[in-house]
Formats: sequence, structure tokens, C-alpha cells
Amino acid sequence: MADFEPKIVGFLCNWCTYAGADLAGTSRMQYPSTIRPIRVMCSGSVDSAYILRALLEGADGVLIGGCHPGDCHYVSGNYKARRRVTVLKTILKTLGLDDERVWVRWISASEGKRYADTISEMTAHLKKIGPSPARKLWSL
Amino acid sequence: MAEPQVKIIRLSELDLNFKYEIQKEPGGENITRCFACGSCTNACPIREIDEKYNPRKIIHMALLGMKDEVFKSEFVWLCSSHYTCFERCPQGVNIGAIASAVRSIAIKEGFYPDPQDSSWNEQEVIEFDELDQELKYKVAAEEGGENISRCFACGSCTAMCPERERDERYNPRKFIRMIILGMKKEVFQSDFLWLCSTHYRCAQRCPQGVNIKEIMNAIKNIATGEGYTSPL
Amino acid sequence: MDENNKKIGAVMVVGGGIGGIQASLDLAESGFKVYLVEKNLSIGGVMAQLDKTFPTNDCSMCILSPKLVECARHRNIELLTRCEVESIEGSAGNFKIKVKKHPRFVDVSKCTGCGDCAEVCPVEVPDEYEENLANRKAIYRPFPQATPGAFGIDKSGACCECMQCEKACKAEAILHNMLEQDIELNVGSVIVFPGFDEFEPKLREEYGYGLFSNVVTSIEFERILSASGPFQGHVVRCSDKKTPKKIAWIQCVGSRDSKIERGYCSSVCCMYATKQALITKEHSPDIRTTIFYIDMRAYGKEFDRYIERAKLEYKVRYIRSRISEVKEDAKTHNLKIKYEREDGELVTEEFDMLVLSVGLDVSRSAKDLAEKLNINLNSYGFARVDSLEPLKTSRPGIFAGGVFSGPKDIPETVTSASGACALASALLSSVRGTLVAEKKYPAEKDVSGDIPRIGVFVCQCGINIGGVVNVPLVVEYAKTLPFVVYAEDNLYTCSQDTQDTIKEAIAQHSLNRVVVASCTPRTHEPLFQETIREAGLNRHLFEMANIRDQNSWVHMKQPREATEKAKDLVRMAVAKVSLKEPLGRISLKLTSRGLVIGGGLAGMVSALRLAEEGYEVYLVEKEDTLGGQAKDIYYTLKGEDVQKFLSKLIEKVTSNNKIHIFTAATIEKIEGFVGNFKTTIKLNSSLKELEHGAVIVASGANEYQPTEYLFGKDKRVVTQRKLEELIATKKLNVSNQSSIVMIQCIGSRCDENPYCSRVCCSEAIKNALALKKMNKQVNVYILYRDVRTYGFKEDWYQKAREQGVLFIRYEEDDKPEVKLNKDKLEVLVKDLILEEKLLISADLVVLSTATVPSEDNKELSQLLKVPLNEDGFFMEAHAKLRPVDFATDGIFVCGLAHSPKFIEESICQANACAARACTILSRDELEVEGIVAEVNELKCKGCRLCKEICPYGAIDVELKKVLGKEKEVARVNPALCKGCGACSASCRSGSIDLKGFSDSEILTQIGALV
Repeated sequence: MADFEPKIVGFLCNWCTYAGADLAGTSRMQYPSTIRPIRVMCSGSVDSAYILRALLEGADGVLIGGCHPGDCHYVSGNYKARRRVTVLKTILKTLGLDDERVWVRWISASEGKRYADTISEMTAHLKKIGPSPARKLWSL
Repeated sequence: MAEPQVKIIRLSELDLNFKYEIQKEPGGENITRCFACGSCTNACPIREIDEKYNPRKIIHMALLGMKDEVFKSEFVWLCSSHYTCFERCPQGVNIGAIASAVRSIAIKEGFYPDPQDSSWNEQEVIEFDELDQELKYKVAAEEGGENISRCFACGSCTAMCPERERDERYNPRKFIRMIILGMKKEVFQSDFLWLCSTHYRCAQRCPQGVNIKEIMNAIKNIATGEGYTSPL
Repeated sequence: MDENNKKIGAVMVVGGGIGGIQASLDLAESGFKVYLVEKNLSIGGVMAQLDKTFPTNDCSMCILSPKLVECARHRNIELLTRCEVESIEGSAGNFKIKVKKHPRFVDVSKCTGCGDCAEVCPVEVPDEYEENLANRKAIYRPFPQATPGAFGIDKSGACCECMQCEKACKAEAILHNMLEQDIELNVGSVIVFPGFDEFEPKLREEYGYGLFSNVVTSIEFERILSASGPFQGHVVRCSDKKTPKKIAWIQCVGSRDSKIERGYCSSVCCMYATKQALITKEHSPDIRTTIFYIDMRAYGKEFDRYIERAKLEYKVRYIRSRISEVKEDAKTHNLKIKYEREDGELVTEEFDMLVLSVGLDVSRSAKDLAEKLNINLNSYGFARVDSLEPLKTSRPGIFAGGVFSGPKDIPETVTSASGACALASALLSSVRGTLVAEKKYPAEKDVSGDIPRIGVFVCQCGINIGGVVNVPLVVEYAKTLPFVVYAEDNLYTCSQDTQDTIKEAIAQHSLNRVVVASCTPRTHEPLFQETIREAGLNRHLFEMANIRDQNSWVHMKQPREATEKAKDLVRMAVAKVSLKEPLGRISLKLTSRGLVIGGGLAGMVSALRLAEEGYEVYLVEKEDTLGGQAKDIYYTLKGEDVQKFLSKLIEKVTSNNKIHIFTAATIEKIEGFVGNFKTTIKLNSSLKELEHGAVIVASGANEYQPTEYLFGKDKRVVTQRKLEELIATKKLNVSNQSSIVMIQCIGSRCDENPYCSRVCCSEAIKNALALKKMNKQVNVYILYRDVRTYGFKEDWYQKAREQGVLFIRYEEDDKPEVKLNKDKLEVLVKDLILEEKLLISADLVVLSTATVPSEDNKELSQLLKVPLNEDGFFMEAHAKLRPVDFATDGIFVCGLAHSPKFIEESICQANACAARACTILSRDELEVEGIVAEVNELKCKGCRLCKEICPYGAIDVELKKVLGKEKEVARVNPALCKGCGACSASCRSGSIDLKGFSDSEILTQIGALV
């Protein structure tokens, strides 16, 4: 695949993943510059519409980052996120969109390295499967 | 994995009282304060010559109680007590004084460096009984001779000495060494003492302020005072 | 009541470093008026000079400046700079203090910090802030973020009174005739944090400081590393300004050195040298770094990991050898160091630059201060404090901490500052709130219906952002975005003067929304929100773009990509903020009661302090009795009686009628949020509900149970704790022939627990000394990897050696062995100095075991929804500046639950928790952010999905008349809603939305991105 830089939209929960991403920063861990983080209060507040919107607008990948199961700051938001994305993935497949582009990862506030690794992994994966076909969908 | 035969030291066979004995000797009080930082070894000029001459190791051996090995080590007999290690030591361990203390303890216990010992065979054995330990103090008491004990045998003086260039017997470093050890007869009878032109180059170079020129005069005074005259 | 006996609701804090600042903020937030007295032109102390802090590698000024700003703007804090205490009268509760205010010759209220004066000043003198590596003018501001931000004139020989500055000053702020002033203040308590001075390395001439140009001290090197320093963050040598190829750090310069009366360990140098080496490698990966040390004192939380990272990832070389002499090559000005390697080989190595890790001397001004205040000092000139009362000085009502009571790092200083505040707060609890002021804000501008006018402020953060991201380009780009009417860049957007710049810009350009592109909102959002509120804008008309922690710091080698990403992030933030609406704050009542989880030493101390501060406390303990781990400790290193202290403490706690104790109780559920918690405990077999406003986690830790070294198989192998018990209860007999071998690091610094348990070196020495007391000639051997007796504990290490305790070092990959030979217990260890194995017949083998986290931590962390770190201990909000807080408001942690520590450190931390909890419990009401869900009744179908989903039961469905028709609609209770957004994500009709993170706001962010 020609060298393309994937664009990843990240929905990071304020209490865990966003903090983990900050920790990766203070620890100066280097990772690809592909992700564009959007801070949300909880992974459970990530509406399926957000993920769809991101994909249809041409994002190559969407990452939802939340607290580890059992540790959600708002009790059970991450469980809701998990269920919601599972359902969404079946819909994506039905619509002919690639469900491999939506990742859910549990990254805690102390896991700066895990965040950096996730971005690296996701970037490598997206480079392999190529840019999202939706990028060209809306060109007139 | 086959391990090479490592000698095992049984602490029960060592003299666990040795360190307390040293503590009782003047200058040896702080020996147990040592925390093996290595400042002394890093500053010891004799260590540069040979890795056997390791003050840190010797102190450690003394603390463990390896009395025999410490008595037999050359370091204890060669240490010139110039005090650089003591100056550097952050715990006030006076290694020079400890070497001295160990020598006294050794002699009291009837130990003499054994010339039959292989490591001593190469050298002519110096009988300490026949040495004058007071000589260096006499020199230090003379004007200009105060810093003689500071000598740490770096060799700067010898490198500058024009007499030394002509003849290897005329060695200022060795000369000062002999004074410090107390080899009075050899010192008074040496040609060098009477040949030294006292032009001052060695004293200028000396990083410890050992004023060899003045020391030559002091020795000459002491020698003539004791009835020696120039052999030349 | 007698005038002189009346307690005063004000406190004087002497010393404006990070300790003094923290104490001031905690006191001001607890209802006391604070006079912060600082002798220099600005507060900030040494922390303001540091480049980065270990082990998080945070930019020091970045984490400090929000606190500087907070101090300056706090309604209850009066900053008194250029002031020194002259005399003191009175007693605890009522002190009359005379303070001398030295003239700064500039009117602080008029000075705008423009710098025109310094431009025209003809006099240049060495700059103390830059450690004399650069110059400043006679009229100057110590550093850009100085607080107050005004300039000052140095008339101690610098100023020539040419008056050029006066002519140049448009604000007419310069007053050359300013006189000294005498100020008299009446306070109830004094908190003393005068800090430290660096050791003067000329006292150890052999290092060549002052003679060899490329030998610098560590603080000088901090300035060299700093982006705002004399060389703009380029690591260069002083002699030729070239980049050095090899740098060496020499440890213990002015520490652990009895020769020069500084026998103590300065506690922080091993870590700061590692930090400097690591950061140097970040600046220039080709520079080779070497650290020469005696013992590596990485005793704190995450310290060992930091060292390992430095070794493995950054290839920092560590050589165990104390350098005692340095020589210089006269031509190249390189330095030559001779050292014996651990394998015995003597090596001379040349280095381009040498950094002396100088120790912490007690501050020179502290000695005078101590005399004036009449407080006792120890033999090294530091404040004399007891292990069991670590914050009290010898004079009642005067509390001390920070380095003044013993060398320590920033988190310990901050903890002791909060701790001292708790003691003052307890002393003056009856007059809390009597001298405080109400904060007055301007009225909020009504921006409803207005077209957004957005101002964008892009931060350089020194070189942290500006060195990677092309900031001016981002500013220009921002100007092209919709609704942006103003954009500028700042060197440090968080500094005090930039707050004024922002406020001015809001007024001048009629901004109604602000975007700051800088660091993380998690630390700095409140700061900027407060600024815009002071300018009359609602706090929520604000958004941050994280272009540092999640951009410039993680894409350091990709400046082009990082700049593009910054532009994207700014575009997203601008899009979101243009849709933001003002949100109201909700005032909630709060329960002024505390809950302490754990009835050990830390739990009891914090419960007692909270009660003394005037609040009721629930103390919950899972065991039948109070005491925790302290029950097994008899004496401290200093010989203080722990059991006596413990029983007195238990007595005080049980007899205090404000403390309600529940033993043999477990926690079933914790609900609620700051100010309004509800905890359910199980007592016997019944449940009980407790309501409280704050939580202090003091759940302790356990002793590692060894399986190695024949423990459990031979009675003669015991733990240090068991040995202590045997000694204290006189069940042990030792003779001249007895051999006792102690093995350190059992269960610590290993794969299973890769951290240091901190107390074991001192524990071993404590017990060794006790054994020597029983019999002077008993043989005690301590087998160690590093001896970590930091601070004044070093004295006891020396005492142990003096008394003949033998210390034998071993390496991790060649551990000692313990074998049974017939019925003799034998210990085999390789002596690294002799390179030979030693065999010791032991009568007793004592294992110095690790402290491991309690098995309850996992459950408790889930009940409270607070995180644990990698090792299983509780993880605080910020390792440096919020050492006892959790990210979740209202919950605090102290004692062993946080990490292994000494009794005095637990006591300090427990006090700190009480102070922090007090900042919440002392309020009349709590204001909660208006980030709550809201229902659009027109769209709502009443399907009840949101009500089922809400984890807080904040949604109810009711019958309501909407547009003339009755229908079932959902209703959110804003007091219960926590703003998680789960409802909004599940609503099928899009009628419920989360304010502050609404659908339209998020969708706009996505749209702006791709």
C-alpha cells in the first residue's frame, strides 16, 4: 500500500484513557501522530452516531478508550460502550463497512505505555488494510 | 553451568575481633566507619602501580577479620602515609594511620614479613627493626621540611630532575621514600644527598608542596649533626 | 476574654517555595487568612529554577505556575515579598510578629511588567536565578512567571541610580526613594518552610569547582537544561559553548561526608542526577552520560522503575565508585577522572563536562529565623522534630516542614505542607472563617444570541511546544477559522501576567469564547476557566486543545506532523467552543463529616486531626482492634517508644466524642460524590449507612510472606519484625560468638515486586544497633544491594558501622544462599570487594521483607472508583503536586495504602489528608459544575430507557403537560446527575443531551476534523 497516513478519531474517557494518554506524554513515549483525540466524560457516552459520523466523514479508524471493566468512574459506562460497539459492528458489516476500523480498548490512567502501543498497533493495522473507502464516497 | 573453583572464606575461622583491636590504636578509631565508597582507592598513587595495593580492599579485609592476609599484604608495609586518601575519605577513615596501626599490631604479635613468601622473594627485605621511624618527623620539624609526609610518590620530581637523567641512582622520589621509611643509613650515605644542586625545579613541580630542596638541607644538617660527612 | 488570649483566625507562612505555597493554599481554602512572607522578589523557590521533576519528567514550571497564579489571586492570601521576620511575641493561638519589608523600589500595583525599564538600565550583573551563567539588569524580574509579576531594583551594589528606568517607565511605577517598612501582624500560628541552599562545592576543592570551567553544580545544570535558561536548553560546555560528548555526574558532593560536617544524606540527588542524565539524552541522544555513586537511593514510589528505565532505555551508565579527585586537561578543558571499576580495574576516563550533585544545606536565612522564632535545631542546623510528631517544632503553635526539617523531595514537601496546615487548622478551628473574604466576581455577561467571537491563545510552553510545533503558524491558521476574531501566542499561557493579557484581550476584542491550545485540561482547565470568569465570561465558554501532552511531547521527531495535528486540534476546539453555552453552577449542601477507611496509625491520626479541626468522623476498621501494622512495631530508629505512642493514640481516638469507631466492619458499597457520599458498612451481620462529605483511604498494607531462604522450614530464619519482637520482649540472648545475618530486599526490587520497600534498610540497622546494645561484640552482618538510609537516617548507618556491624554487598544476579549443613545454618555470599565467597555460620538469619499492598485494595479501588498503580498501591492524582489527592474530588489517601513508608511519613501524610479534607468540609456549600443532562420535552417519548440506564438514579419519568398535551417525559435531577452521558448515548430520539459535551458539540468536533 502506498504510504498513507491514517486518520484516527479517538473518543477518550476523561478519567482513564485521556489521563493515560497524558501520562504517555509526560513520559515522552513516542507514537505515530495519526490520532485526533476527542475528550468525553465516559466511554459510555459515545453515541453510535459519533462513530458512524466519523467513519462516514472519512476517518480511517475510530478508537474508543475507556476504563477497565469494573473500574468505570461512572459505575458501568464502559459496559454500555462495549455492548453498543458490539451491536454497531454487526450493523457496519451489514452496511458493507469494515468493522475492523472500530477499536475499543480499556486503558487506565497509569497505562501510558499501553496507550502509546495501542496507537502504534492501530496505525500499523490501518496502514495494512488501507484508507477508508468512505474517504472517496462524498467527492462530487 | 560448571563454576570455577572459588575459594570460600569461612568467617568462623577469621579473627572477628581484629577490627576492634585496630579501633583501639591511635588513628584507627574510625576504621569501621568505612562504607567502601572507593574514594581512597581512586586517590591512591600506589594503587596505580599495582592492583594488589588496594586500600579499600585492605580495609574490608581487616573489617572481616582476615588478619593473616592483611599482615601479609604488601600494601600495609608500603603505605607511605601521605594522607591523600584520608583527606578524600568522607567518613574520616585514616588509612595511613591504620596501616601504621596494623604494622604495630603485627609486630606485637610477632609477625614479620616473611622473605620466604613468594611475593617477597623478588625484593630485598627491609628489616623494619633497623629503621628510624623518627627521621621523617625530624625532617618535618626543620624549616621547609614540613610537607615531606605529603609525598604520594607521583614521580613529578624525578621527571624533572637533571641529575636523574644522567644517572638512575639519583632518584628524588626514591630518596624521599627512603626518608619516610626511615632508612637513615642509606639516606645519609647516598651520593645524591650531597650531589643535589638544589636548583628548585622538583619543588616547583611537586603537587603536594614537598620542598625537596629544603629537605636536602635539613637532611644534611641532621646528618652532620650525627657525625656523618659527605662521602664525596 | 483577654485580648492576648483570643485566638486569631490568621496564619503566617514563612517561605514562598512550593511548601509555603501549598500550605498557604490549603489554609486559605480552609477558612483562614494567610500572610505568605517571602524574602525574595517572587515566590516559587528552588522549584522555579528546575527544568524537569522526577519521576514524572513534568516540566517544573508548568506544574508550579498554576499554583503561583492561585496564590496571587486568592482572596484569603496576602503576598508579602521582600519581607523577613524580625521578632515574635506571644504564644500558640495569638502571636504578634514584626516583619521588615525591604524596599523593592517599584510600586507593585502600578508595574505592568512591560520590561521597558530593564531595556534602558545600563548595569549588568550576574543573575542568581540563572546561577550566574547569565546576566540580568539592576532592575529586573527574577523569571518570566514571577509572582508578583512586578520588577524590582537591586540596590546592593548593582543600581547606580542613573534614573533611566524612572524615565522609561510609562506606568510611573518606579520609586527610587522607597523606604524600609515595619509591619506588625497578628496571627494564630506560624508555618515555617524556609527551604534550602545548595552545598558550596568549593568546600571540597578536589572537584575543581571554580577552577575548572567545565565543572558545574547540578542546579547550574538545571538552568543549562532549561529552555528558558542561559543557553535556551542547548546542552553546552561553559568553556567553549560546544556540545559535550561525555558528561559525568559525581554523587554525594557535600553529603554523607562527615569530614565537612555534612554526614547526612540529601535524599534527592540520586534521583535528580538520573533525571538530568535522562533529560540530557532526550535533548541530545548522542551524549554519553555516566553517574558515579556510592549507593543508589531510589527509595520512593516509582523511583526504582525510573532508574531501570534510565539504564535500559536511555543507556545511562551507573558506576559504583565515589570520585575523590578531578584533574583538568589545560588545553581542552576536559576533565580526567580516575576510578576503580567494580571488577577491580583502575581506569582513567576523560569527560567533557562534569556535574557535581551537590547536597542540600539548611538555608542560611533559616538559622537566623530559627533564632528569632526561638525554635530548636538539630546538630546539622535543620529544625529538630520528633519522629512521632514530625511537623511540630519545639515551640507550640509553630510548625515546620519541607527541607527545613530534613532533606526531602517535592511530594514529601507538599505533603508536609498540607500536614502543617492541618495542625494549624486544628489549633485554630474555633476561629475558622473569622478573617476571610468573599470572592467578588464581575457580573456574567449575557452572550445568548450573540455571534461567537472566539479568542485563541496558543502556548509555546518554553520549548516544550514551541520546540516541536510551529506555533506562529498555528496562530496564523487559527485566525482563518470561523468565528475567530483574535489569536496570539504566549511563552507561558499559564503565567500570572498572561492571565491579565487574556482578560484584556477579552475586553478589547469583545470575546465571548476562549480557546487555549496548550497542555492538558486535566491540570489547567480550572485555571483558565477562573481567568475568563474574572473577565465576566461564563466558565463554560471555554475549550482547550491539548497540543503538548498529546502532541508535541509524543511526536518530538515529527515537527511537521505535530504542527498539522496542532492545527487540527485547534480547529476542533474552535468548532466545539462556538457551540458552547453558558452553564450554571449548582449549589449543593454538603455533609461536614469524614469517613476514614482503616484504623491503623495513619487512619487514626487523620481521624483525630479531622475531629480536632471540628468535624465528625466515621472510622471503619476491618479487624477487631485498632492499630494496624504498628501493633508489631516497638521502637523507631531514633529509639522512640512506638507502643506507648500507639496506645496513647488509641486512647485519644476512642475517647474523642467526634470520632465514631466501627471495628470488625467491612465496606459493602460507596455511593455519591464529593460532599455527599453514602457508604454502607457491614457490622456483625447487619448493614449500616453512613453519610459523609469526604473519604480518607488509610487501608494500610501487609508484610511480604517469604518462602525463600528456608523461612518456615527452620526456626532460626525469621523476619525483621519477629526479631524486633524478640528483642523488645527480651526473649533473645546474644553472646560474643553469636552471628546474626540479615538479608535485605526480600520480596522487593524483584520481578514480582519491582519497587523498593523503603523502610527495610533502616529497620535492619535499627535492629542491628539494638543487638549491639545487648552485646557490643555480637557479630552482625547485613547483606545488602544498596543501603537506602536517606536523610538523617544516614547517621544511624554510620553508627552501625562504627559499632562493628559489617555490611556486605551482593548483586541481584548472585544472591546469597542459605543452607542447612547438618544442623548448622550457613549463609554463603560473594563479597564483591574481595571477589571471593564468604561462608558465615549463622545463629539467626533475619529476612528484611517487603511491604506489599493489601489484598483488599482491588475491591476498595472499585468501590471508590479510584485507580491503583502497577504495583497495586493506590494511585494519587499527581505524583508531585497532589500526593494525597485522588483525581476524584473528595477522596484522599495516606499511609501504607499509598506506598511503603516510615511512621513519621505516615503521620505527615495522615495530617495532610485531614487538611485536604478540611478544604471541602469547611465550606458552607459545594458548587458543582453544571455538566448535567437535560431533556428536550418536545422530543421525549417517555420510553424510560434513560431512567434504566442511569447508574445514579438521577432520572425520573413523570406525567407532564407539554404544548397542551399530557405526556410522559423524563426529568433529570441535576443534583444527582454526575454528567456521564450514558443516557444521552442511548436515547433513541435524541431528546436527552449532556450539557458541555452535547451531541452537536461532539459531532461538530468530528466534522471539523475530517
